[in-house]
Amino acid sequence: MVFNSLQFLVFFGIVTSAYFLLAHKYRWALLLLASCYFYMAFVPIYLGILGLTIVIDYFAGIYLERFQGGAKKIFLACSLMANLGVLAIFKYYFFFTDNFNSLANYFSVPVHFPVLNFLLPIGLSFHTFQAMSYTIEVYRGNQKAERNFGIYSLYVMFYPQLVAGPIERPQNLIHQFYEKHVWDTARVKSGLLQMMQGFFKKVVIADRLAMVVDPAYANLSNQSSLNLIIASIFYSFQIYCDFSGYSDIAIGASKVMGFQLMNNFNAPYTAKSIPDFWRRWHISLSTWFKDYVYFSLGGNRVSVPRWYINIMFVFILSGFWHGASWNFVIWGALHGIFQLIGLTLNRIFPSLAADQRKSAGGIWLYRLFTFLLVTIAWVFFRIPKFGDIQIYFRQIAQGTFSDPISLAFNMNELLFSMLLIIGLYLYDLKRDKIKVDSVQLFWPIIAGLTFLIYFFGVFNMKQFIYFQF
Amino acid sequence: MQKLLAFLVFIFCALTLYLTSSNTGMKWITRDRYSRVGAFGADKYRYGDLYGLAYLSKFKQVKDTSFVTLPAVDQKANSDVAKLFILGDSYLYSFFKEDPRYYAGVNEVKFIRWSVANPVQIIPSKSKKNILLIESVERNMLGLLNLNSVKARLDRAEAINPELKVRQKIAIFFSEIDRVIKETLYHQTLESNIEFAWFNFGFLESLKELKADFNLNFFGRVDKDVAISKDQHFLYLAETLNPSQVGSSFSKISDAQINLQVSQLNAIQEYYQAKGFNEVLFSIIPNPVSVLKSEKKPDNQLIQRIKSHPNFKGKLIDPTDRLSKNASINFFTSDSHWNQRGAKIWLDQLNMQLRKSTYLGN
Repeated sequence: MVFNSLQFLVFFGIVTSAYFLLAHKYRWALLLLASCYFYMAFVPIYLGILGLTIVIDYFAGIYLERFQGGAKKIFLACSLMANLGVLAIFKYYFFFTDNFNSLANYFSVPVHFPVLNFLLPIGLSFHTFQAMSYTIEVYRGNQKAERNFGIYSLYVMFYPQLVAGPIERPQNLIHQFYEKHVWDTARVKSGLLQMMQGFFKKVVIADRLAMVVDPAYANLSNQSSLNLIIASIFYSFQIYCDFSGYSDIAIGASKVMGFQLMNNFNAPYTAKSIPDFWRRWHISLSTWFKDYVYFSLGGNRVSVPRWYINIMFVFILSGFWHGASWNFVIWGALHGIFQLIGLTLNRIFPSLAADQRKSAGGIWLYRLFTFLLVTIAWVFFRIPKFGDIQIYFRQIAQGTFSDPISLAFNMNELLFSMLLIIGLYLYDLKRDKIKVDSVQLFWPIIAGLTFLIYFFGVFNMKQFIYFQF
Repeated sequence: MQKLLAFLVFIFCALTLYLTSSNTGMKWITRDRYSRVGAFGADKYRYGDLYGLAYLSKFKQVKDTSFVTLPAVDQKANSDVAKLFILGDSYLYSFFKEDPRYYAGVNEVKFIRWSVANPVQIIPSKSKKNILLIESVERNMLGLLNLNSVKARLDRAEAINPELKVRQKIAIFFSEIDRVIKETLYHQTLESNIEFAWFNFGFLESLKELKADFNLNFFGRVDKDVAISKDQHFLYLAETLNPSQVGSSFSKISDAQINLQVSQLNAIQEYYQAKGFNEVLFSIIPNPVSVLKSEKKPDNQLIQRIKSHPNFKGKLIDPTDRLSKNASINFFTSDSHWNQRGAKIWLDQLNMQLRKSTYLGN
C-alpha cells in the first residue's frame, strides 16, 4: 500500500482510531495485524519471507542473551547469515550470477550459473537492516532479547516504517510498544501536520518534477544540455522530496499514535560539505553504517590509509545496499571519493577551509559546490546503464541550450517548479528560526495545505523511489 | 470526547472500506449516486469517460447512455439459424444488449468481455450454425488479437494447461495463493472505488473543473491519460495520439509486425473453425482519431494494412470508411467511444456480413 493513496487514508483512519479505542494490552496485536495487511497489499506471499527471518532473529536474540563466547558468536553469525542470505538471494543473486557468467564467458570458462531474476520483496533492505540492528544490539548487550514474539515481529514490521524506513534501532522502538500512549491533542495535530508536509513534498513537488525528469532520462540522446541540467537539478529535489516526504508521513503517522521515530532528513541540500550532507541525508541508514560497519572496521582510530579504506568501503557498501547494479556502486564510490578529497584538502589547508566557512559568501560557495557534487553523483544513481551515462555526459558536453520549453513543462510550470524548489530550500534553511506555533494554527495550516495539495498535486499514485530498495 | 471522535473516524473509514471492497456495496453507491442529479449526484461518467478523467469544463456535455435501438424486424425475415459468440469490449457491450434481435439470422448470443476475470469455455451448438465474432478497438488489438490471448478468455481447458514443468507449476501455485489473498483482502479497484465514493459529487465538480482549467490554461497540460484534438473539438485517450505507445494511431508499425498479426488472425480462425465454428469474424474498431483525422498527419493505417494483406484469410468487419463520412457526428466529444450513431453504422455492416454467413441473403 502506498502512502499517497486513498486506500492508505482509509487504512490509517481505521488503524489509528482503533488504536485509541482499544485497551492497551491489545494494541500491539492490532498494529501487527495492520502491518501485515499493509505489507500484503504489495505481494502477499512475500510476507512469508519476512516471517522466516523474523522467526530466526527472534530465537537468535534469545540464544544470544543466553550464551557467551563462541556460541554467542555462532548465533550472531546464524542470524546475520539468514538475513543477508535472504537479501543475497532476492536482491543480489541475479547481479552476481549475471556478472559471473559474463566474466566466465569472456575468459571462455565453461561455467554457467542459472540466472534467476526474483522479484525483490518490497522494502527488504530496510527490513533486513532493522532486523540485523536488533541481533547486533542484543549481541553487544545494549538491548535485552525480546521475549514477546508479537512485539518483536512488530518491531521489524511496524507499518509506517516497514518498507522505506527510517531504519530504527531496538533501543528506540521496542520499549515504545510497551508504553501506553494516551491521546494528546497537540501531539496528534503535530503528527498530522508532519504527514501533510510529507504529502505536499510527494504529490506537489516530487511527482511534479518527475514529469520533467522521467521523460528526459528516458530519452537522453534527444535532450539538449540545458534540458539535462534542468532534469538533473530537478532529480536532486525529486528524490529528496520523494524520500523525505515518505519519512515525514511515516514519522507523522507514528507520532499520531504516540510513537517517536528517528529523524531521517535534516535539510540535506543546505550542507556545506559531503560529510555534512551525509549527516543530513537518510540519517537512519548513514548512522547504521557508521555504528555497525565503520566503527567495527576501526573508524578513524586507525592509520590514515586504513581510515581512507574504511571510508571508501562503507560508501561502496552503501551504494550496493541501494541496488544490485554497478551504477549504485559507482554512486557510493563517488561519495567516498568526494569525502576523501575533502578530508585530504582539509588536512593540507586547514585554515583556508575554516576561514572560508566563516564568511557568508564562503558558506554559500560551499553549499553550492556540495550541491553540485551531490547532483553529479545522482546522475549515476538515476541511470542504470553505462551506455546511457556516456550519452548523458556527451549531451551535456555538447553545450546545446535549446529552449527548455521542449521539456515536458511549459515556461509557467517550469517557473512554478523552480519557485517550489526555492520555497522548499528557504524553508529548510530557516525552519529552525520559524517561531510560528503550527499546532496552534493547526486548522488554518491543514486547510491551506489540503487546498494546495489538491490544487497543485499530481495524483498519479507514483510509487516512492526508495520502495525499490 | 477523543473517544467519540476516534469512534466516528473508525465507523466512517470502516464503512468506506466495507462498501468499496464489495461489488454489492459499489453497485449500491453507484446506483444511488447516478439516480441523483445536482450536488449529490455523481458526475464521473455522466459527461463521458474522458471528461471524467480530464474535468475540462468546455468538454462537459451530457452523454447519451441508451442502448442502440433494435434494427427493423425485416432483417430477420428468414428463420433464425445461428448462435453468435462475441468476444468484445465496451464498444459493443455499452451499446448493445445481449439480445439476438440485433443480429441478422441469429437467435442466441453469448457475449464475453476481454476483461473477463476467469476464462470461459465456449461450446459450439450442435443444432445451429456457430459464428464467433472477435472484436477489439484498434488501440488494444496488437496485444489482444492473438491465439493465446483469445484462448485465455474462451478456452478454459486450454488456459489451465496440464503440460507444465514442475517449476512452472510451483510458480503458478504461489501466484495463485497470492491472487486469492489479494482478491480476498483488497478489492481490485479499491482505489478508484474509494475515489468514487468520496469525491464523486456534483458539488465538487466546479472545484475539479477549476483545477483542470487552471492546469490547461496556465500549465498547458491535461490529465496524463487524456489529450485534446488539434482542432480542439474532441478529447482522446492520450495513448492513441502518442506515437511511442503501441496503441497509438501514429506509432510506427513495421510490415513484419503486420505479417505477424495477420498470421495470428489466421491462426485464431483455423483454431476455432477446427473447434466447430462455421465462421470466425473479426472486427477492429478504429481509434476515434484514426477516423476523425483531426491531427492532420498520416496515421499508421493499421486496419487497412491488415484488411488488404494478401495472406489474410479471415473476414474483417471494418467500419472505418462508413464512420469517416460526417465523422464528427459519429463520436462523442468527451468520451473514448463512438456514439449510438457510430455503433449503428458498425451494426449495419456486421449484419450485412451475417446475412451472408447465415445464408439469409440480402
